[in-house]
Amino acid sequence: MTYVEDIFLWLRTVFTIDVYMISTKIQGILWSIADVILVFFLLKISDIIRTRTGKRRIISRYVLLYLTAFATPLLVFTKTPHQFFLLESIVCGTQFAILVYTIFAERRGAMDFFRHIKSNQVTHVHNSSPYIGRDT
Amino acid sequence: MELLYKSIPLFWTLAEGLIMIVLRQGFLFLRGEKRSQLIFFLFALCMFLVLVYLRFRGEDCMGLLLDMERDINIVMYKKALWNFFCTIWVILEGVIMIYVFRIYKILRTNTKENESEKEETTLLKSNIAWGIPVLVFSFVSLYAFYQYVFISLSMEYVFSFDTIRMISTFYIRICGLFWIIFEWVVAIIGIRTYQLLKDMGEEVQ
Repeated sequence: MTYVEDIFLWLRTVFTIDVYMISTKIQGILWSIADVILVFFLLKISDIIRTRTGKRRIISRYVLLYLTAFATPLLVFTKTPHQFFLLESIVCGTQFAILVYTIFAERRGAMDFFRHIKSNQVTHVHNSSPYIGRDT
Repeated sequence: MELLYKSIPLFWTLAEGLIMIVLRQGFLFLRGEKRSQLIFFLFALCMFLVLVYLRFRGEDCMGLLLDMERDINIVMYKKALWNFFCTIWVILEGVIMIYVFRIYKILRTNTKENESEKEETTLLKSNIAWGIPVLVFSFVSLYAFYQYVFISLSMEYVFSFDTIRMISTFYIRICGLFWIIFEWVVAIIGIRTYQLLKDMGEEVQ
């Protein structure tokens, strides 16, 4: 336990506000880039599904995502934890809103798409393999 | 501004919680299970309402245990609550990562015709069956341990407000590492799922 306590006591001398701001910016940029990528590919997946159901391609959600992608580097220029929190809230909040909306809006289409793929797969296996029913 | 500051973490939690519920539903659907999500949904809803209460009325509640007239107790409570939110986000993102991974494995298994590859995947699936309980237990333990050591030390030593803030904030940096890892894993699986669905879509057509 003393060892852990020493680490905590050591922290108070090295983890200053400057170290906090730098580490926050680095981490914030890293997870924001990951968010941009994952939302982008979720929209691409949604587009595959929408194309199959004859719906038009997504535009507005891409625009919102690109805006957050352009705003992400601005995190580097924030000077206080408060500024960082505000900008991060806008960037992350928009990305989360896109994620939640997309997941709910495309849910039914995705299920139909997967059902179609599964039934096609079963038909395919039925025609080519003796193992039907054991693993599907 | 105060309302915004209090609401944003709740919005993030709600968003991640909804994503987790939909992914779980998708996972059960792909596995062909017709299990109801009602109990899981009600549990998640109750947890969320507890968080709303703690965020807006938690100080009153803590006033029954601690002297909340003292600034130090208010700061300690606020920091502990914020760290608790961070822990919840790590857990939610970890669970989302596990479901995304499982969904990807099922989709990939559906494209395989080779039996040995299918068996390998089933084995892997059983190996990660304990993933969610282990993840939840690990991060709740980490939070409890960090808070315990921190509170013990702050009772033993007289910390300044800045010291309390900085030691407590360091916990967010630990959580940050896991957010980055989990989100990058989800992003990479997202890219691979897109490739897979694109190929599958072309085959089906």
